[in-house]
Formats: sequence, C-alpha cells, structure tokens
Amino acid sequence: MSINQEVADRDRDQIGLPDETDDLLKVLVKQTPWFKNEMDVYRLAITVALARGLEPRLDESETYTTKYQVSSLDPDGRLKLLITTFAPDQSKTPYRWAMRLANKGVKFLHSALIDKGLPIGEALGLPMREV
Amino acid sequence: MKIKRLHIKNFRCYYGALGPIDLDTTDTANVILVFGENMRGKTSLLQAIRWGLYGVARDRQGEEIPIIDPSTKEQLLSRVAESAAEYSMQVSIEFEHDGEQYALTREAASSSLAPRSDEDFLIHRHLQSGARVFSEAAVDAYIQNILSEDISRFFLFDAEMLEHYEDLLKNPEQEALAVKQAIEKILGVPALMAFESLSEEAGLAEGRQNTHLKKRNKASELLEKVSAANDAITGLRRDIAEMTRQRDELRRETDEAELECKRNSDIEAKIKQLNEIASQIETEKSKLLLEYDGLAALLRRAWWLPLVPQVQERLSRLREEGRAATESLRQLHRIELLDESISVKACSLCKADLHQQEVTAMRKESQNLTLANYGRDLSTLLDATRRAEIYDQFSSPEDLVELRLREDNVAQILTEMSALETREAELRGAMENRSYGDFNIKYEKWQNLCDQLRHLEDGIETQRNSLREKETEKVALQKALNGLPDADPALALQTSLYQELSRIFEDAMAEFREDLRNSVGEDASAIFKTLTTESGYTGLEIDENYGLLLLDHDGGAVPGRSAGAEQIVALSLIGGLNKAAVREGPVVMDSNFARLDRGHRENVLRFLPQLGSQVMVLVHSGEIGQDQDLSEFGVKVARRLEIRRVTETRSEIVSEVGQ
Repeated sequence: MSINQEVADRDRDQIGLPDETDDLLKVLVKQTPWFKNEMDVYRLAITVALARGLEPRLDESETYTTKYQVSSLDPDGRLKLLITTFAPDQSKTPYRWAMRLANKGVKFLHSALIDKGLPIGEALGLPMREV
Repeated sequence: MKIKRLHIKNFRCYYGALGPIDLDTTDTANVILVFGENMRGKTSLLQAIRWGLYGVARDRQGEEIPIIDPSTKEQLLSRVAESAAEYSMQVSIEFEHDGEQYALTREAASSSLAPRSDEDFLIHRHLQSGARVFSEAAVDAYIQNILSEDISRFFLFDAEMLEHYEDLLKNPEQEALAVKQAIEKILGVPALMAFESLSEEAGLAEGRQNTHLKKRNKASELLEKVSAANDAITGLRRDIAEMTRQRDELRRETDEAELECKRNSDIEAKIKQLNEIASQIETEKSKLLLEYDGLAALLRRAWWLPLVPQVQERLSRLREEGRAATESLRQLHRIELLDESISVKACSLCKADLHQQEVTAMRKESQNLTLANYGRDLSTLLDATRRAEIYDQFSSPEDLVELRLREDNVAQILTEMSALETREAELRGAMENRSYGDFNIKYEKWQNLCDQLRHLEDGIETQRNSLREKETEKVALQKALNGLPDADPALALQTSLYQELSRIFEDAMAEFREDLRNSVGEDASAIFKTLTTESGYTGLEIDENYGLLLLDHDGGAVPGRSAGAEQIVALSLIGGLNKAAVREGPVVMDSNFARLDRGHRENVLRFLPQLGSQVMVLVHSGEIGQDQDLSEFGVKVARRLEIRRVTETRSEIVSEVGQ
C-alpha cells in the first residue's frame, strides 16, 4: 500500500472548506436570518448534499482549508452515524466524505438562498405543506 | 342688543338681495323660529349674523371661512354670484341697543375681474345711529363694546358645538382661562376692577408722609427701608406688567399656532396613522425576529432536517420489512408446530390424538404455508430493527412541523409588513404636497409656545408672590413710620384708610366673583333640573373655571356624559350665564334637537323663551312639531320664518303663511 493510499484511507480529524466556498458560507451567515454561526450552516450543508444526492467527485482537486475539529463539529458522533447510514460506501472515512459534502452543500445553499432567494424549507428540499 | 331686521346679499346660499327680514320681537313674544330642512342654509344664516357683526365666520372646526376659495372648500361668497361674476356680498343688521337704533352694514367687494383670494376683496363697514355716522375705523371697536366677539359664543352658538363648551372649560389651560375671562366679561367683572386706584391713592399719601418725615430728618433708616421696598415693588410691578404683556402676546401667538395646526389636522391625523403604522411595523419586525431566531435554533438543533423525508421513507420501508419478517417467523413457527403434530398424529400443544381428517387438513395447511416461502429469518428482523432505531434518531416529525409552522408565520408577517409599508407609502404620498415637514415644524412651534407660556405664567405667579411679600413688608414699615411722633397724623390716617379700603375691595371682589360663579352655578343647576327628564340627577356643580359637574343622588360627580346630556348641561350653563349677564344679546341657536329624546326636547322648547330677551332658533321640521311642540310655547313665538330651496345652491327666507 502506497503512502498516498494510506493517507486516503485514513479519516480526518479536522475538516474545512475550499477558500472560495468558505466565502460563500460567510455570505450565508451574514445575509440570511436563518443561521447564527458558520458551523450551523456547515452541518446543515452536509445533510442538504446527502438529501439531494449531490455526490462529490472522488478525484476532485480542490484544496481545503481546515475550519473545525471533528470533535467540535460532531461531539456526539451522530453526523458520522448519519453518513455511514446514508453513504455506507464511505463508512471508512465518513468525515472526509462529510467535508466534500459540505463543499457541495454550501454551494447549493448559496445558490438557492442567496441567488434564487428561495424560502428556507424549499431550499432544504422539504416537502411543501399539505393543503 | 336686539336685532330688528336683517338684509343679506350674495352670502353663501343666499344669492341676490334678501330682506328686510323682520326679526323684531316683544317682551311677551321673544322667540323667532326659522325652519329649514338640512342643507338649506340655517347655519349660513347664523354665519351671516356673525360675519355682519364681527367680519368673521367660522366652520364647525373653528376655522375661518374665506370669502372666496378657488378649491372646492367652503367660501362665504355665494357660488351662484361667483358664477355670475358678481364679486360683492353684504350683510346689514338693524338693531336696538340701550334704546338707540343702529344700522350696521358690512360689505366685501372686489374690483378684480377674477378674484382668487380674500386679498382681492375690500371690506367696507358702515354704522349709523340716527344722524350719527361712525367713522369706518371705529365701527368694529364700537360693536365689540356692545357685544364682544369673545363672549359671542354664548349668544350666537351652533348647538352642534355645544358639547365643545365643556371641553373648552375642561381641557387646555389657556383656552379654559380665555373662556373664564370671556364669561367674567359677560358678567361684568372687569368693570369692577377699578378699585385698584385705591392702592395708588394710598401710595400717594404714603409718599407725602415720607417727604414730611424726611424734611424733619427723622427715621432715616426706616425711610430708606420703605424707599427700598417701594423700589422693589415698583420693579416687581413693572416686571409683572412686562411679563403679562409678553404673556398676552405669547398667548396670541400660541392661539395662532394652534389654529395653524388645526388647519392641518388632516395631516395630523395622517401623522398619527403613520406613527401607528410605524409602531405596527416595529411589532411585526419583532415578531419576525422571534420567528427567525426560532428557525435558526431549530436548524442548529435538527441539522439533519433535509434528510427527514428520506429518513421517514426508509423507516416506513423498514417497518414494513419488520412486519413481514415478524409474520414470516410466525408462519415458520406454525409450520414447525403443524409438522410435529402430523408426525406424531397428536396435537403438539395439548397432546390430544388427532383424527385422520384433522391430520390431512394440517398437512394441507403446512404445504400451503411452505409454498408461501417467506424465506425470512430472525437476523433479517433484527437488522431491520437496528436500522430503524438509527433512523428514528433522525426522524423528528415534530421538527418538520415546527419548521413549516414558522415558515407560515414568517410568510404571514412579511405579507402584513408589506401591506403596512404600502399603506405607509400611500400616506406619505398623500402628504407629499401638503408639507409634512412644515406641519411638524408648526406642531413643534405650538408645543414650544405652550411651554414658554407655562413658564411665563409660572414666572408671573412667582413675581406676584414676591410682590405680595414685599407689599406686606412695606405696609409694616409704613405703619411704623406713621406711628412715629413726628409723623403727620392726617397723612397716616389717609394711608391706612386707603389701604384698608383697598383690602376691603379686594376681598369683596373675590367674594363677588365667587358669589357670581355660585349664582351662575345655581341658575344653571336649576335650569338643568327643569330640562332633564332623568330623576337620577340632582343638579350641577360649578367649578372655578365655570366647568359643570353633573351630580347624582349622592352628590357624586357623574362621569362619561352622553352627547345629549352634554347638550343639556351646556344649555344650562348658557341659560345661567344669560341670566346673570350684565350685557344682553340676541341668542341665536343653530340647534340640533334631533340628538335629544322627546322628553328632553319638550323641556328645552318650553325653556327657550327664558334663554334670553330675544331668542332665534334655527330648526328643521323634524325637530319641532308644528302642532304638538308649539302648543307648549306658541304664544311666545313672535315670528316663524322658513328657508326655502330655490335651486340646489340657492335658498331664500320667507315668512311662513299666516305670519
């Protein structure tokens, strides 16, 4: 097993975002009333990407800047549990997957909430209220 | 003053020359009834008399009505006359006062081909008594002397505004004071204030005494003190006089500023509405922030919300799988039981022997069950249960409900805010050309003037207190001087005599004022008892400002009077004042008896002849029944006139048939 392969198989203790996506995350916190801090958006972006099937590319070349310790982001391990349940293929490195999902999810949320101005429920892909 | 005849030309709805309208009355028949349906010109008749006397006619908001107004607002010049390019209007009043006959004419005429405002009109006044013709400049002052405009509100009154009399006396301090002064004017109080010259006489006698003592070089220390006290008193009096002058000027400015604000009362109303809207928008904003905070907290707590629909779908599938696996296990267990029973030909549960028929049936059932072939086992069930437990953690249907609820609330609040903002923009738009900013400046100016007036009045009161103290000190000093052996006993006697007289007059004035007020109160109370049909009221009590309190059986004040009761109370006050008045004027009442019930109306009608020496009542036919109502006081009616409609914009006044 090569060193690179070994690194790729190891899960991450710290996760983050590419700088460009981090800027979008900051805009989301600043310009919408729904989020109190960046970590709230980050966590939500992961589940949005999961729910909408925004599959990250495995060969992507984006550079991530660390933002959080996974112990802060997922203190009770529920995020890991959710990822391993919904993406069992990634159960070896759930946080590495979570980080990529977050990248996709933040971009999506920015597009939906800022660019398109959708209501939060619709942006999250939740079904409309039954009439 | 008693009005004899009236001439009107081109005044409001009276186009052309009307008159002479005979309004003469006698001591025994002193009531004139003027009938006119609504919008015929009853109020215009009252306004004509007012304008004829004082050159001012006001609408029910107290605003002066212009002679001409190019907008659609009210104006005094007949619209018909204006259309015919007749820019001249005139009111002539022939009246009797103190046995003399007078003829007063007021005319507004414009030489302009198309006058646009009152500035384009010239006002001419003419007053003649026998051969005596008054100079035009003296006319207004002479009329004011006969029947001052200040007190005319108690003679020429619009019953629609009766209830405002009480407000006038109750509410703004300056207005209450002005009304009190006007009332005292009717009652003749100012004429008695001449006693003040007595204290001047006392001062002169004191001066002579002090010069006498000075010549003898006696009591120089005491004299210096008296001189200092005199200087202080003079200074204080000068200050008080100056402050009083400033106060009067300020009061005039305040009244003007208030009137200016009232003229813009629609803007004031709009500002109130705008403030209310602004406050509602703030409330909605607070609600919105609460909803946003709630949503933010929800998204932090239930960050898996986007996955909830999928979680619920999977859970439902897992539950279905679980149910199928349970059923499968149940079937497998049944097959085992059946197979065991078949092999031993006895029931595997109760061990009873089985007949062949039963064994055959069991075999058939077992074969059928086997054919179903569920192929499930315990591990499948356990796996489904384990996965369901995981999904259960992320199911949170209540969070989804909360999110939808909060979203609905946000949408509702935003809709409400949008409606409010639209209304706000409309109001601001409506005021754009009406100087919204100007109104605020005017309103602030009025408030500032009110504050200044209050301060000035407080200052005057303080100075008056200082003056009283100084005067007391000076009286004591002067007494000591007068008691000196070298003092002139005659001058000492003069001083104390004048001082004593002045004090007696001052006390008497205070007592007289109180007696007068009580007398007005008692008369008003007696009239009220005559007018009211309510046995629960025992009468009225007058306060210092001539405000009237309605008393119940226990002598307690009755709060919250109805509009009808206000009218009866105000009429009682006017009746009481006219009874005590030193000046007599014609009582012209633009009535509103429709507000009164039948009992009260009958009482008021019966009382009318006692309201003054000449009473003119403007009514419509629904307010006074020709037969029943008039039977009560018909003999007191000197004349019945009728205002008839000629066209929609033109009326005329005629004597009723048989008159």
